[in-house]
Amino acid sequence: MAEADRADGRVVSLDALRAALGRPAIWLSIVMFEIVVSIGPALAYFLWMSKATAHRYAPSSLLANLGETFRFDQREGLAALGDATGQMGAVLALLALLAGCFCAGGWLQVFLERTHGESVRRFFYGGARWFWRFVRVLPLTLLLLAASGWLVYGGPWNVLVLQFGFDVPATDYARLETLGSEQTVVVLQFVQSALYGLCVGLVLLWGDYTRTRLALHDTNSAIWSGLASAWTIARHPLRTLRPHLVLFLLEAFLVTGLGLFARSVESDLVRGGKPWTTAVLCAANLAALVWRVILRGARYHAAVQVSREIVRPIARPDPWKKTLGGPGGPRYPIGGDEYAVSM
Amino acid sequence: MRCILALVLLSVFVHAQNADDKPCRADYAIRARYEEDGRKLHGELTVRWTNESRDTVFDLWFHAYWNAFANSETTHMVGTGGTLRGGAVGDDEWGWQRILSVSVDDEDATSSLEWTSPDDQRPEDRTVFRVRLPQPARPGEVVSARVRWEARMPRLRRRTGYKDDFLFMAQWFPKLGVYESGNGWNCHQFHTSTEFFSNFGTYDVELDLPSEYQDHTGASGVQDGPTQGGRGRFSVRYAAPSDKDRERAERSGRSPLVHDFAWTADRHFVKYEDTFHYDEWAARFPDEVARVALALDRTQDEMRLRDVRVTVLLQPEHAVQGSRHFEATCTALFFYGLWWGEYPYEHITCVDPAWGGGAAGGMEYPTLFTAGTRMFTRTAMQQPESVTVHEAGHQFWYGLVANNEFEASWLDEGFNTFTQNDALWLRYGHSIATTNFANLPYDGVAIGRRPGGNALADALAGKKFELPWIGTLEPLRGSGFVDWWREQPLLTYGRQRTDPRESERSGYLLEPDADPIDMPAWLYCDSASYRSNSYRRTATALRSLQGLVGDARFLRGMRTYSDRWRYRHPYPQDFFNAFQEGAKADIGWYFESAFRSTATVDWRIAVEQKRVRPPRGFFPDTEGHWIERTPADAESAGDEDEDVADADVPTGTRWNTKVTVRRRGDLLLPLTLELNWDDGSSERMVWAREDQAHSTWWRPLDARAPTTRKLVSAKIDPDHRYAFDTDLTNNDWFEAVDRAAPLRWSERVFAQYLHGLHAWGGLGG
Repeated sequence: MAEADRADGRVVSLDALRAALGRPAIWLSIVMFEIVVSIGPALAYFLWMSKATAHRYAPSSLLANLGETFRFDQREGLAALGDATGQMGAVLALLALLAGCFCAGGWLQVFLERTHGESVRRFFYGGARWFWRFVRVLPLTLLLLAASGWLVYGGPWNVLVLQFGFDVPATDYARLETLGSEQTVVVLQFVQSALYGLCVGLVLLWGDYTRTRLALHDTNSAIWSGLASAWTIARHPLRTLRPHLVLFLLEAFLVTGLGLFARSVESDLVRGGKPWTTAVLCAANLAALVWRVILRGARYHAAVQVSREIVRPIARPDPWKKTLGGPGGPRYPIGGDEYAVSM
Repeated sequence: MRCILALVLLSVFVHAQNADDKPCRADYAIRARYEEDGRKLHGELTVRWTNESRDTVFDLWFHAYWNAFANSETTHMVGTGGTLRGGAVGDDEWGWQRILSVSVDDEDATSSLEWTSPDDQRPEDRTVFRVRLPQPARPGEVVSARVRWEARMPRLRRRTGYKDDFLFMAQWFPKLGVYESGNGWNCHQFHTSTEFFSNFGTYDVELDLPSEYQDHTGASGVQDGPTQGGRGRFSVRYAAPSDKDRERAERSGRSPLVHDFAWTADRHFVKYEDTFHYDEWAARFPDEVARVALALDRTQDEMRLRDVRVTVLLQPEHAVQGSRHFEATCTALFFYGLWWGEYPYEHITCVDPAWGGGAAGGMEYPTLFTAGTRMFTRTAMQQPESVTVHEAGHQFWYGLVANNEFEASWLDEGFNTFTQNDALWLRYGHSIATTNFANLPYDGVAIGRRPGGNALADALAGKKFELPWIGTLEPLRGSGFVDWWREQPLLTYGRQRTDPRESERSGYLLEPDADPIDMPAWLYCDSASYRSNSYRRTATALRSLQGLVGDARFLRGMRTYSDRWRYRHPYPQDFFNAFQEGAKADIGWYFESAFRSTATVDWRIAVEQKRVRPPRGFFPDTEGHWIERTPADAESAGDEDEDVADADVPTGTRWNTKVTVRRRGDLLLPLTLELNWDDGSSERMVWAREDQAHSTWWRPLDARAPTTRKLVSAKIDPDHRYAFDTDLTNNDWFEAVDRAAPLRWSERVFAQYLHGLHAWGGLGG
C-alpha cells in the first residue's frame, strides 16, 4: 500500500476496525468488565423497587410509566436510593477511569507488537506495563477538560463574547436577559455547546496520541509526550484527525441506529408492551456497548498507524556503539588491547 | 398584630353577602401618553363610580400599584426581600406614580388626597390613597372623579413595565378599590403574594404612542376605530367590553362588563388570528357535551357557546407556535364555557412576553392574558399549553366570577387550577417529561442518579474539584452535545408521563398543613404555603369534593355558584352556600374540614392472609379424654400442610384473612374499601365518618372467621375519589408481587451506567 494511501483516513480507519474486530477475546473481556461494574447500581435499584412495590402495586401497573403519584409518594426512598447510587457510581466512575488507562495500555501493546496470537495475554501484559504511565496522563486530561470548560463557559467567554460582543453586564451572565431575543440566547448557547464538544473531542484525541506516543517511544514523561502530541496534531491535523473522525462517525451511526431501535421498543413498553421487551432493550444496549468498545480499540490502532508514519523514532544511545561483539558473546571495547582483528 | 390578624380572619370567615346585593360599578375613560425618553407615562382618567351599596360613602380609595416599585421599603419589596425575580433592582429600574390632581364632580379634591397603608401602616408604601368627596355619595348616586397622573415605568420585573421595546402595562392607572356594604372600602396595599380586586364596569382608553408601535399593540377589549398617526406618534382607542358586547344581553339578561384594563405594545409582535367555533369543538368532544348537558339538565342547544375571535401576539421566534396558543385558548373557552358558563366577549388576546420580560408572563386580565413559552417545545410537553389554558381559564375564575384576590386568592387560583387540569387532560392527555440538550428537549429522563452528588463523590468521579487558592475545577461539566454523547439518551433514558391532575396532590403535599386554605393571601405562612393553598390544595379539595358528592352534583353545585356570582364579587361563604344549594348536599362539615382547617389524612391498609393451620395438640373427645391430634391426622382429615405450593392448594382450603384499615390525621371522609377474591367476586364496604370519629382503625375482616375464598387484592378508595391522602403507597394490597416493573426500570439504570461508565473509561484511555 502506498504511503499516501496508508495515510488516508478511510483506509486507516478500516484497517483499524478490522484489527480491533479481529480480537474478540479482548473486547469481550472489556465488555464483561463494564457489565460487571454497571450491575451494582442497577441491582440497588432493582432491590429497592422490588421491596417498595411488593404487594402494594398491581402487577405490571408500573411497567409503562412511573407516574407522578409514584414518584412523589416514593420520593424519600428514591432520594436515598439516588444518593447511594450516585456515591456508588462515583467510585465506579473512578474505577472506570483507571480501567480505561489499563485497557489503553492493553490495546497499544497488542497493536504495537506486530505479532499475532495470545492477544489476551499481551493485552493484560500491556495494561499492566503502561498502567502507571497512562494514569499520569489522566490528570492532564482532566485539567485540559477543565480548561476547555473555563474557556467556553467561564471568564473568556463572558468577557469576550457576552460583554464585548453583546454588551451583557456581569450581573446578567447567568440569565442573559439583556439580550434582545430568546433566539440570540439559544444560538449563543448552541455555539457554546458545540465549541465545548469540539474541545472535549480534541482533548480525547490528544489523550489517545499522547498514550500512543508514550508507548511507541517507551518513555515516561506524560507532560513531554503530551506537548509533543499536541505539536504533532497541530502540524498534521488532517492525518491525525481524519481516521478518528471516521471512527467516530461509524460509532455514532450504529449507536444512533441501535438507539432508535431501543426507543421504539421502549415506546411499545410505554404503550403497554410485554415485560420481555425489557430483554430486547438490554440486548440493544449490549450490542451498542460491544460496538463502542471495538471502536475504542480501533482508535488506538489508528493512532498507532498514524504515529508510526508521522512521529520520528526517538534517538536512543546505541549500547553496542563502542564495543565489538554481538549479543550473547564476549564484547570488547574498540581500540582496547585485548582484541584485534587481523585481515 | 395578633389582634389585627384575628380581625382580618374573622371578617373573612363571616364574610357572606346578601345574594341580592349589587356590586358598585366603575366606568373609566382614560387617555395616556407614553414617552420613551425617561420611560414616562402621562395620563388622565375620568371614572364614574355608581354607589350600589346600602351605605352613604364619604371618600374614594384608589390603588396606585406602580408605587410598589418605587423603593426598597415598600410593602411589596420588603415582602420579596428587596429583590424581584431573585435579582436586585437596578438604579434605573424603579417605577412610580405621582398624582397631579384629583377633582370630584368638577370640584378640586387634590388637597384632601391622603396616602394610607391600611394593612401594615408602612409610610414608605404609597400603593393606596384616598380623597374626600366634597359631597357624600348616597346609595344609588353616581360620582365622577377626574385624576391626572404621571408615572415612570418600572423595568419589567413583576407583571408590569418595560423590557427594551416590549411594554406590558398592567395596573398602570390609579384604580378604585371596591366598596362593600357595611365593610367600607376594600382597598389593600400591593403585597408580594396578592393580586387584584376591582369593580366591574366599562373602559374607554386612548393611547398615544411612538409610531414604531403602530399596529403592534394589544389591549383588553377591542380596538375602537383606526389608528391616527403623525409626527412620529400615533393614537389608538380601545373599548372593553366592545360596543357590540355592551349591547349584547346574555341569556341571564345581563350585559358583559369587565373589571380591569391592560395593554401591551412591542414592535416585534407577530400576530396570529383565528376564531373559536363552538360547533367544531362540540363535534370533537360530543361525550363531554352530553355529560354536562345531562348533569345540568339542559338541552344540547342550551349548551351552545358564542364564537370568539382570538388574537395571539407572539415574539418572532415563537411565531410557529401561534396555532398552539390558539388551540390552548380554545380549550379553555370550550371546556370552561361548557362547565362554568359562556365566555361573553367577542374577542380575547393572548400575549407572549418578550425575552427578559418573562415576569409579565402567566398573568390574567379581562379579555387579555399573558402566556409564556420557549423555543423548541412540543405539544406533548404541554408548554405553553398548560399556562395558556390556565391564564385563559382565569377569564372565568377571576374575570367573570370576580372574587377578592387579596383575601381569597384560592377562589380563583385553586378553582382555575382544578379546571385547567381537567381541560388539559381531556384535550391533551398525559404530558411528557423532557431533558434538555443544548436547549433541545428530548422526550425522556435519566432514571438513575448520575455518579457524584457530594464534594467527595464529585471529586472521585473527576467531575468537580474544590481546590484551595485555585477554586473550582470542573472537568466534566454539563453541556448539550457532550451530555448527549455521554448519556446516550436514546439507549438509556426512560419515558415519563404525567397526568396533569396528579400534580394537584403532589403540589399540595409540598406544604400540606401550614395554613388553612381559607386565608388572606398575604397572611399565609410563606410563599410555599401561599402556592400550595391558593393553587394545588384548593384543587385537591375540589377534586375530593367531586369524589364525595359525585360528578353530576358537583357540576351542578359549581355551576350554581358560577352563574350566581357572575359579574359579582363572591367570598368563600358565598361559594359554600351556593354549592350546597346547587348540589343539594348538606356538606358544611366538608368545607369546614377541607377549607378552614389544616387537617390531613393518611389511610393505610394492612392484610395478613394465612391458610388455616391444622389443629394440633390435645383435644377432648366426647367422653372428656384428651386425644392428641398430629399434622398427619389433620392431613388425612383433609387439611393441608403449610408448605404446599399455591398451585397445589386443593379446593376448599380455608383462609384466615385479616384486613385492617388505619387512619392517621384528623380529616374524616367516608371511606370505601374494595375486596377482590380469587373466585372473581368483589365486595365493597364503607368506613363511615361517624365511625372514624370514634376510632383510628377499622377491621372489616377478622382472622377469627376463616373463609374458603382467598383475597387477591384489597383497595382503599378504589375509585380514587380523595386526593387528600398524604401517602397512597399504602392504600392497596395485592397478593401477587410485581416482578416485571423492578426489572424493567433497573434495566434503564443498568443501561445508563453501562454507557456512562464507558464514557468515563474513555477519559482514562
